Amino acid sequence: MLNQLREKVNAEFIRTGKRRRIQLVDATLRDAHQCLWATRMRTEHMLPMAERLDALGFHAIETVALVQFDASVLFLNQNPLERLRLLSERIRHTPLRAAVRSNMLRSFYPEPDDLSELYVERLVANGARDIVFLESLHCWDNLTTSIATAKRLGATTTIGLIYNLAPGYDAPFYAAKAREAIQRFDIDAFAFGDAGGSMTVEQVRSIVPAIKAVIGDRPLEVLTHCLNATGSLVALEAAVQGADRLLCSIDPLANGNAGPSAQMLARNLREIGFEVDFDDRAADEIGDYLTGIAEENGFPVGIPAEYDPAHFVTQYAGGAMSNLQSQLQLAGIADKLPVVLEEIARIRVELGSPVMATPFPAMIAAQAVMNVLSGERYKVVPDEVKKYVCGYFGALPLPVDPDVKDRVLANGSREIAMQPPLLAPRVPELRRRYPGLSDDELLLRAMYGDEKITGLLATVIDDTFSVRRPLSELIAGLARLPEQRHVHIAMAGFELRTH
Amino acid sequence: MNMTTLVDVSLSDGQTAVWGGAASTAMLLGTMNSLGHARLAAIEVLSPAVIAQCVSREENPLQRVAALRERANGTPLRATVNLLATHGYIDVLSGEALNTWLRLLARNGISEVVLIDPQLDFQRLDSAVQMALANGLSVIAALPYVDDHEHSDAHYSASAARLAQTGAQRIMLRDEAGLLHVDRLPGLLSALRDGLDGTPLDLHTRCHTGLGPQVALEAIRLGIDRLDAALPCVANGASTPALPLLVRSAALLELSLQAPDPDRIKEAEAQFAAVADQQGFPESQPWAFDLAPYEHQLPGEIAADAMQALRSRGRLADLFGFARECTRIRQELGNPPMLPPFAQAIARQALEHLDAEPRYATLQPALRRWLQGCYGPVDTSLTRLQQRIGAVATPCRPINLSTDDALAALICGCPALPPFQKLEYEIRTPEQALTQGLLQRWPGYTVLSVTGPGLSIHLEHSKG
Repeated sequence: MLNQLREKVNAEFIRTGKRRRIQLVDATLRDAHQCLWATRMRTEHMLPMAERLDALGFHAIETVALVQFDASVLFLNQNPLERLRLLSERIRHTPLRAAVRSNMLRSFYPEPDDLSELYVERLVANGARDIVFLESLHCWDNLTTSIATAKRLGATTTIGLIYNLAPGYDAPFYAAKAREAIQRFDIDAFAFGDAGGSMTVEQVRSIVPAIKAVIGDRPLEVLTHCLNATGSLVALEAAVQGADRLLCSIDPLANGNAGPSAQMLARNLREIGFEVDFDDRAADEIGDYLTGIAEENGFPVGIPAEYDPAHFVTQYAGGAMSNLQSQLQLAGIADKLPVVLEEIARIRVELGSPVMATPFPAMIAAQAVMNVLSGERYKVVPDEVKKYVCGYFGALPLPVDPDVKDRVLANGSREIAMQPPLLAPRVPELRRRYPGLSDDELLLRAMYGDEKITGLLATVIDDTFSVRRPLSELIAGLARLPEQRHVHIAMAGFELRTH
Repeated sequence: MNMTTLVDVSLSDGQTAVWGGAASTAMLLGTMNSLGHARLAAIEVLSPAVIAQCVSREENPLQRVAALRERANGTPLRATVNLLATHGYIDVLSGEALNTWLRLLARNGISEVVLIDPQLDFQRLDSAVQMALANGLSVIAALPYVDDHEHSDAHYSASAARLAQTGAQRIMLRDEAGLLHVDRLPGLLSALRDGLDGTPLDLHTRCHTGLGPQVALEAIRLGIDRLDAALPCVANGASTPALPLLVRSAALLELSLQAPDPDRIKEAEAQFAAVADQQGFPESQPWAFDLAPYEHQLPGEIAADAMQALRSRGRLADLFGFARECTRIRQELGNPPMLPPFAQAIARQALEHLDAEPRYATLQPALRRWLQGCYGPVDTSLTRLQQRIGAVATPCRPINLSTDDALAALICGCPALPPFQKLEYEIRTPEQALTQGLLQRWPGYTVLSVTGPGLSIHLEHSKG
């Protein structure tokens, strides 16, 4: 395999006369801890490694998306915009990236344009220089305002093309969506990727060249996840097929549910003949630091996953599956799970195979349970399904089955209008309500309410980069004490006594 | 198309690759009780690595075979026999020594042997196969897989055809470095089938790149006759794919696989995992994908040891530097096969070169004997080194021992085979283990106190 990959890269070198440079984009501070640490990396964990991350050679460093906003405010009592600003004060060379999720903010419902605009403004004002736009339905209408805002503020714009294991999501589909983004927004760069680890080498061989053919010199980034054993190989193959950048994270905050390891990609890309600017050894030092944080906080590190073809058969993610199982159990119909799963697969195709990202898995599961329980398909229609069919979330990527659409519209709640209502601006009202507040705080209060934002804690600034392991250091220290010394240490969940 | 059947290698390659061969004979017996009833095509119990592990613990490898046979419930037991010895006391295992060893294996309960000649010397294999057949053994001839331009489909097809002519009942494609991948497999298996003309074809692959299970499933789809796999606690990484994953996935993908008894496999896994837990053996973990195995091509546990050596030196960033050094050494020596006894020596030599210059300041014994022509004429670029170490008087050392016991000891690499031992092993509950540990230690302490959630033990010597 090594030889075949070398030959392909060398053939390109002979054809073009130059060695292609592959850029790495860092996801350690964003996606990697979202996948492995339930997004619980604190700003205090990030600051000491920020300058070292800046020096590694990454093309960009991802910082916050809405999941980081939620986790930071709701669970860590930290201000995500302050995090972005503190990072930007330390990461002076590598562009920081922040993400926009459709026209949504905290909830999974569309927000008015003025709030989307304010969100992008605050990301840029706090240091983001590259904004990535993710839209599960690939409905670019939902991104018009936020892309225009990013362009107005001079940020680089990167649009996501989300891989979907479903009929119709093929090379022509992604090529068409890329072409549309160029024509409508003159978008700067593209990120094609896969959140569920189900993308295969064959699909990359077909889709990546098709996107590259459309986007020309605009850079294409590819992101994969390693829920299956093939995630890293798929990333390497993507580079061979024409991708310019790969998303990755510092090992050991890589693999498993996260993406490929930066160190592994750097050495393997070089080995097959690409140019890569990346300081592998300095990355290993950050890896040691991350191991220390993991040990100190009881967080897991990434464990490479076993190859499992089940990933390529179902698109129903693990978390959604366990939710569904417990809901069926509560309803006393746990035995219906196989029928419900079959129904989920059928409904998904009938509804135009949306990417199985929140809120769509729950919506489809609700319809499946209704269909199984009522005995007649689409006799009972959850409100979300009618809203989806009526375009409340945006235009659908593939048409809904006409018969199904008729039944949904006929049997769904009459209170849901066929035409989605226009969303009234919210910012003027917020300014009236919070006179004199900074825009950062205004935005956060609009998203999370007064109580949470008033209770946020200030970040403790300490840039000392050290791999601390308090427990092992304590035990090592005790071992150096004279033998007759008696020590008794007690704390929650831990007691140590020597005699 | 015949259904693929499974052979379990947990007790040999599995525990060698994942636990460093730390399982004693007594620790295997409970697991064999379950495996023996699982309707597997065969169970591998012995290999040169297992023999070395037994000898190092003063266990008799033939006692292991006999004890496992008693619990195998009639399932065929398999041994791998490498015609090139790994311990350095002899070079080539042939003639009466090999015949005696095969006879002893058969007598103690082995019914199938995998004959491996790393140099693929067909004449040597002709004779070895005939001896094994004469001793009543079923013979599987190994065809080692190498990933390079020289080893084309045509080479494999011709080699398979020639191996079938030896009289072996089955041919096994052995991918001990885990280099096969799904792009390579269809053409390769088709070429092998063309050469084999109906002789059954088995596959042994490893998981160094994490792709082993994918390769194994593709092989089932392509109609491989038998496949090696291991219990999950000793699968993946430098080991073979996990057996339950293959069974589950084959069902999902509607592949033609004869599944063993799932309850017995579950029992065996629970038993073996409990041994690991009690003994503190390492947990099995899949390895992350990396292309480096294609460069160094180190087999099984030798790759695992090399990775560990680099990790402990803090030099994982030099993985390809190490891998290229393995390739360079191999080329300089005149391409010895990347299998024991040469692979480990090449890995060690490469690590020495990585640690300190000058290169070849010292030389691994197996490489020295290779350069001295003990395994045949050598086409090496290291002529000055060759001159420095000098020649040996008799390149292929004769074996002049008369008794079976003496021959067996020599083949196992020890002065005399260790005596049979009483085989006892008990899985203890955590509470039993804790109590026993405390009672063993407390005479050395004035006070011993253990506190945990829902647990408080305080031992104190009473006065007087």
